[in-house]
Amino acid sequence: MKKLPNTNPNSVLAETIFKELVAANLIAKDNKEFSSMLAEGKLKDSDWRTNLLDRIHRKAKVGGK
Amino acid sequence: MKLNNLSIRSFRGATKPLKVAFDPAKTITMIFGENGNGKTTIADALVCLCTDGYGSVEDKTSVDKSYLCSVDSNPQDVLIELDTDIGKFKAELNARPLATFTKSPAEGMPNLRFLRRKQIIDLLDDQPSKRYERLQEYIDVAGVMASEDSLRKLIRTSKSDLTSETKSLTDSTNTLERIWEEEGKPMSSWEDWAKSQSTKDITKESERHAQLSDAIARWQNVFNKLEAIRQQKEDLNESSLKVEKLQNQLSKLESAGRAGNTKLLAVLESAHNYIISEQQIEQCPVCKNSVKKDHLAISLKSQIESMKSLQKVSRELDSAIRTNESSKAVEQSSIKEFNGLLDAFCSKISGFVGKGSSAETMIKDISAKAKTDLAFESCLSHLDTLNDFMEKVKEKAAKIYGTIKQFNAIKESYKTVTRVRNSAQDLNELVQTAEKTLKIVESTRKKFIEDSLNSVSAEIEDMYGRMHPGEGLGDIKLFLKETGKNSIEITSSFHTIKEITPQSLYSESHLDTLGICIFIALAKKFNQGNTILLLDDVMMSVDDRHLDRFIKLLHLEADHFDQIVITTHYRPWRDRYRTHRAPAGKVHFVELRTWTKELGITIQNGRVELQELELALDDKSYFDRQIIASKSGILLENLLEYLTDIYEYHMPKRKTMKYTLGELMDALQPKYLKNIKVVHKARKRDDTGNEQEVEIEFALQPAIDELKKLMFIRNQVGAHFNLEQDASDDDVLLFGKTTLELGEMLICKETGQLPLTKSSDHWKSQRGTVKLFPADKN
Repeated sequence: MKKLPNTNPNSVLAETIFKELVAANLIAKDNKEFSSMLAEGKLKDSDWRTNLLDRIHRKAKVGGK
Repeated sequence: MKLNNLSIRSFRGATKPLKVAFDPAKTITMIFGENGNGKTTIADALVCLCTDGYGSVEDKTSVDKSYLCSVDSNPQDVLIELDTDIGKFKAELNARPLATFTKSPAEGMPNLRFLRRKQIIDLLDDQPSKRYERLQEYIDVAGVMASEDSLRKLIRTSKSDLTSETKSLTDSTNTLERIWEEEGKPMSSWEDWAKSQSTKDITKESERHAQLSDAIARWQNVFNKLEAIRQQKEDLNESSLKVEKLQNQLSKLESAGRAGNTKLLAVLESAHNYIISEQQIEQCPVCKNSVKKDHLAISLKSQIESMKSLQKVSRELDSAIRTNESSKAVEQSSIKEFNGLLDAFCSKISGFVGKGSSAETMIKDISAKAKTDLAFESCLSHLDTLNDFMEKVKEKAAKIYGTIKQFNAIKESYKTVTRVRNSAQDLNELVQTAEKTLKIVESTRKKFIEDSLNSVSAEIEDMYGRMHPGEGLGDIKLFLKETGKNSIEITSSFHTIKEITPQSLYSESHLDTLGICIFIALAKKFNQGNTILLLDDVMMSVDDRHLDRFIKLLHLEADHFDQIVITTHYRPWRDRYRTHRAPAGKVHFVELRTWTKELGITIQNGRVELQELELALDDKSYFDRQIIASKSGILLENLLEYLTDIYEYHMPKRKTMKYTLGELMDALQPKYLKNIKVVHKARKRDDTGNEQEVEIEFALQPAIDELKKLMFIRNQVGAHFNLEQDASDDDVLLFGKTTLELGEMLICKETGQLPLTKSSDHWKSQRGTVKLFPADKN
């Protein structure tokens, strides 16, 4: 029988969350490090702040605010 | 990953170094031993090495972890080493802190999932929240949850910052509105006014205030010095009076003839002492005139006192003169200093007096005398006027200061309003975005766990269905409890009763198998590679059917793990393999002998019946008739029981269902035997060198017929004391070899199992490499 694929729950979940947040325009889709940091518990409040403010400011720019 | 060796030294029951050599070709290792022989020591060693846990030690709250080392050993003696095909892993026990290991490598230990019976009971009995904790390592999303907590922290701190910024905005707005109203509400709004005010240039006001402050400070210096000189003058006056008074006193004393010197005073004092010390004195010792002692003593005393007063006044006068001179010097110096201060003040203040005003005249007058001896007196004469004038200057400075202060308040408040408006907007947006993000993260995580649990539930349901087919049990569901945060509920059905907690109606053995299925399903679902599954004495007594199903289940699931290590004291499980009723081909057997403190844990490799007979026949060192006869008899009995069992041959009716070799042999009647054949699938190379699958057919009857003639050897040679044995060594050898031949005919070489799966016209081994025709007796 074939071995099961390596499925680290943290990585799988982090990837799913990343996709959801990109779809909701809350995280940039080119944010390469987000998933792994989320999975490894390394995303601190300051990182969330930077990421979210970046989206807020980008949206404001696009919206011509 | 394949395990090669596990070495244990001075750990738990390993009082002597122990090495468990694994067979890398076998996926399952079964460590069999009766209670107290060291199974759990081996299991605990793996747990301590590969995880942060302590194995069975954690099951008992009262166990002292200092006894992780074996009897008469020290923590530093403890060593656990696992040699695998991907590297060596080592754990050494530290003396301090107690019960901690130093591991090498520090990270990347083999992924061990271990299950003990206590865990099965706890998992099912625990509260849902506790159950979540137990299963958390499988639904291990701790990393994501840590990041999620950071997001919560951001929301908390941002909300707090927003509250503080909002308060700051309100305070600044209130300040500006209040000032605006006090100023009579100029312009259209407080904001427009505040904006214009905050851009106002107040350099002139600031400079003027600085100059006034400087003039005020200079005046204060002049005034302080003036006050000081006044005091000095008073002091000097007092000092002069004192000198005069002392001079008068001295003149009086001198005119009274009290002048003298210290030598005379000493003579007089000695004379006085002499006179009062004598009993009687009639005449003066110097002039020889007659005297009265008492009169002479009083006269001498009076003279001495007068001379002392004179001396004292003289000393006081000297001191007073010195003080007086010093005061004069200080006054002179102060006046000089005062002149300088006054001059500095006059030069500063002249810029602030109105032209032609009385103040200008006064300042000019003072200024003109500022560097002369008249400065002090001049200033003193104008003091009241000056004080009044300076009070007005102070009022003016205070007014300018008020204007500056208000300007600064407006400027700062307006700055705060504009800054905080932007930051509060950012913060508000950040809080809203973070809350929206958290909602997505939380719901995705919960859904992920729910989906995982659903998927695991389906797996458990499948496994449990295979363990208990048609028993009215199942519908196993693991799910997150809606009301409880991080709580896992387990429900199942029992015949017509749905969604009950399994422990309400399931028997103990059914709960055992459920716990094992949950554990294997979780370990399988969340297998992260390099996974070793350790089942530490999980199986208690179960009936044959369930044991066979469990073994089958375990062997099917074994392919999902790198290695399964089983420890058990349950002999029927071990014997299923030994007697070829279970697929022993992929199992490595390790048997533990009786533990003693002197020898520690001792092990031997276990064997199956066919192997035991083969080894007895191959022993060139000694031809043991009894062993060969005995082992052949047991294997033969096993094979005949198998045949009578699958073909349901007629056997004598008996309560115990135990039959002799003869009875079993008799049941195999020639009319049945002639139809039985065994077909082996094998791979052979043809003439062109290509490998091809071929079928080799064997008839059962010749071997059975031969064994019918030889089976007396089992009793005669292998079972009883007998001095008159008819069987020759050749007979014994033939009996052994024919039994082995029958065994090799029926038992699959690959799996080590008899053909136990029934097909339409035959029985087949697990992989179908051995087929026994027909399926039924005919």
